[in-house]
Amino acid sequence: MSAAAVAERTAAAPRQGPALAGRADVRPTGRRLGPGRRRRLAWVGPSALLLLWAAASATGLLDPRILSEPWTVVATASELIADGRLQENLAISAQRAGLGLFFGIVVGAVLALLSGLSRAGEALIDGPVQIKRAIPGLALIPLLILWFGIDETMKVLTITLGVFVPIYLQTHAGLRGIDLRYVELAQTVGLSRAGFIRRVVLPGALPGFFLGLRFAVTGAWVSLVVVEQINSTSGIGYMMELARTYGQTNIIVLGLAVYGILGLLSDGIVRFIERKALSWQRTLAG
Amino acid sequence: MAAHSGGLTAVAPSGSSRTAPRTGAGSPTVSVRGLIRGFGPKGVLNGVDLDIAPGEFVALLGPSGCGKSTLLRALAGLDHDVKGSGVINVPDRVSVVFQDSRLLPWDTVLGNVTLGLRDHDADAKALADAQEFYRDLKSRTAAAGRDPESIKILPGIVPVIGDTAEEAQALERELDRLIKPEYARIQLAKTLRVAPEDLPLDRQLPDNLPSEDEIEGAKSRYTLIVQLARREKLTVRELIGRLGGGRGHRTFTGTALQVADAIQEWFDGGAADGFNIMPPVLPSGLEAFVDLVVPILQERGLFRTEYTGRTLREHYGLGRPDNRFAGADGQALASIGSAF
Repeated sequence: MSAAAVAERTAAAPRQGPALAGRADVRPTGRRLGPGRRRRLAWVGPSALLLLWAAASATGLLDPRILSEPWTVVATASELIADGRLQENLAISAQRAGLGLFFGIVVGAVLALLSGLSRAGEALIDGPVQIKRAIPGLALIPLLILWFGIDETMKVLTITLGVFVPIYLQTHAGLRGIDLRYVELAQTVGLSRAGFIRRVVLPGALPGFFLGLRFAVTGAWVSLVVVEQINSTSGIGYMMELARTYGQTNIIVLGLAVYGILGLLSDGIVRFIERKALSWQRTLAG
Repeated sequence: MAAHSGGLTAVAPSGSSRTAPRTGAGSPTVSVRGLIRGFGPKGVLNGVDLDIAPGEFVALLGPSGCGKSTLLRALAGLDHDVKGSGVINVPDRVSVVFQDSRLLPWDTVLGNVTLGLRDHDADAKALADAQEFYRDLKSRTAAAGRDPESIKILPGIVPVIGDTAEEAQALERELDRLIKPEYARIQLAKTLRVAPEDLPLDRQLPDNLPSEDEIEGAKSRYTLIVQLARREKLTVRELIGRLGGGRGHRTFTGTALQVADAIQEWFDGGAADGFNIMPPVLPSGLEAFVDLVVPILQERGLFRTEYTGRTLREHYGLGRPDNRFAGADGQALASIGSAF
């Protein structure tokens, strides 16, 4: 997209002679109603949560049998990293989540385009997707095991099924929300159908797609827990399930922390890409 | 014109002083008959008749809500969802300037102003292609250590000239109708260096055409024709229709002024150093060009009024190249002689 290419250009600071640099910068102060300029403060909330956890554990408010102390979790993590179990399980989990996410994005986006751009497509696709949406992913797992066995195909498929729904819903909504004025514009300048899709539909549906992607990325990790805890011999979920059997709360909490960090990180990445790709949007997000 | 104080409801009375003078004798460019459009139970346009002649300027006046926009949207074909009836005839290409700004917020300024240009503006595409060819050849000439001015790029053009644009278009259609597909196929087969039997009229071009390197002669025209056919997936019959009388040369159709404008646009725009004029019909086509277009070009200082040289080389303003065989003339001739 051309907007993305423009966004990559870094803004040059205004040219100022050295004599001008020290001058006063006095501006009329208007009342501003928005949240103000964007600041890199995303870490504040999670850190506060961590601090609260540490404080509660240190003062004895939180029994270690209920929730392990943060330092125990860190120690467990370094133990597991030392014998290679954590990174091994993490790599397998990331691969499953990545594959499921990839297929889910492709399926969701293609279905959204088909159903958004043609009434026939909508009649065929929209209903079944809404039905799928109403069925809990967990309830499908027994059937998927029957059909595909318990190997990787079934796990990736479960994640795909969980991922494509939010992508489809949000992309479809974004696409259908494109202002009719732009469609009329495309008609009057004689854009071809392909040109219309490329110049108007895709960029217009992009905000919806990114919203769906944020749901999808965290959804991929959530589905991952489910498939790894039910039938598998590897992955973070399996590691946690094993710990549950042996009553190792510290490993369970570590697994939860890993999932949390992964979710936060991937959401941050999507938001970063979204900001770059949608730099034309002037919104409160800033 | 149907705009009168009561809104857009009826034909203006005949003999009305508001009827604009007809420029050109041709039929109206826009004609609307019995146009009815309504939103809900209330009719907005109740049987509007409107003719707009070529070049005529029409303003619609009326209070808010009287149907000005409804009529314009009907003319632009943007009112599929509005109930109504009537007959509307408009040109194939209708330009619309909307009341509100319709800039695509996600696109750049350049993207916005050129939106739709490449998709349907064949003239702009042809000019851009010609400029690209011109730049490429001239830069390669310079890269080879030769003066770019020593190579003149003179594309062949077919001027189809009429007193009005419509007349010129009618003439072009008439000429195109005279093309026999069988004859044009033989011509095409010669250009593509294949047997005419290998070009079934209702099939696309065969896949195993010779490469450009195997073509001796009009290489770039060969590539142009093949690319056009492949890009738009044309059958041989459609390709023949598209190439028309120019067989791949650019056809400029219009009034003498429009043809002169097009020539100037290509010349000033860095797409050509000059043109090979290929009149569609002799002698009338050549006479029309010489009598009507050349004076305009002379007036604009684009074409000479008198010859300053005697040879074709001098007419083109090309210098006499040095003899590339070193030494005296006699020796050079001798060496050529011995080579034969």
